[in-house]
Amino acid sequence: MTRAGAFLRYALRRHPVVIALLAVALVALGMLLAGLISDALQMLGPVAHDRPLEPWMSPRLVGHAWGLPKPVVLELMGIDPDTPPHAGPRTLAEVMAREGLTLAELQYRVAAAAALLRENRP
Amino acid sequence: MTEMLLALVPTYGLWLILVAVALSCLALPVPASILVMTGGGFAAAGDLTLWQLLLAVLAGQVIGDQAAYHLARLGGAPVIARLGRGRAGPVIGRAEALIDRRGLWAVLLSRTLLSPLGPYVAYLCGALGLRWGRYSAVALTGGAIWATGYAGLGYVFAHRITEIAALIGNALGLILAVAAVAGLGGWLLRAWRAQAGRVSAELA
Repeated sequence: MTRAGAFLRYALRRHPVVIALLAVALVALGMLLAGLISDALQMLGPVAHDRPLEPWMSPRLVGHAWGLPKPVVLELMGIDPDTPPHAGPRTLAEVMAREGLTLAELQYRVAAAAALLRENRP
Repeated sequence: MTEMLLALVPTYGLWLILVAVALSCLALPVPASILVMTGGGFAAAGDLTLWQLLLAVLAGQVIGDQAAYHLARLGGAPVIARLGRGRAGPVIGRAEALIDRRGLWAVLLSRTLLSPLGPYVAYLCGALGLRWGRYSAVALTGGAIWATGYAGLGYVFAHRITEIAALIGNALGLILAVAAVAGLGGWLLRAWRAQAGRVSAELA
């Protein structure tokens, strides 16, 4: 019997619980590695124009990430551009509650404004 | 929970991040790395100020690291001393020598590349008596590297923040899975070698 075979037989006989835990850890490792590679490949690609908004994002972060000037993004969200940073709604969740909008509606507005900006860019 | 915490960052900002980082240093399940990275994104967008974010993260780390070290020192050291007098004495002695020899590297690695293991290394260092001054200096250096790395990642890639968050989640899970495989596999290998040694001795 090879050394690896002898080791496996010993481990299965004497420490089946440790082997079961090791198998679970190996499966988790494989899945996480696949996820990591997939995420990394996605990162190497171009930035998707239709990437989703999240309720935790701030209006300023949306403006920064989607390349929209601050007055434009604030207007899209029904916020007066002269509002001081900590006076208006701080997250998209607050914007949705205040304006009675859904996330899909906000997403549509942002995507349309970003597309318009791209078209008009020289 | 992560999304709920992220939604609180624009409102509670730096205090929330400071508390989250401190709690994560005690091994409580708080997604500190994702919060700090997203904090970097909020800083790029102008919701937070980058240097204040870095300071808050570092303060949270110092508080959490020191709490973990001293908790283990107070609670763990007497247990270790009692175990050291018993049958586990040689093992404890080897562990103490290992911490003395390689502890600082373990602290640095567990504060940077292997950050999910950070709290456990801090507890071990406290319980096994790694000197406080050396521990604190290395933990602070590692903490500064970690804070700058994660906040910088969010700051630079603010336009891809959700993708980076998914990447970090997978990477941290992967580090834990690799540590579990290495730990369990190593333990099995040592047990097998010890048993093979006993069998050889009996045959001789």
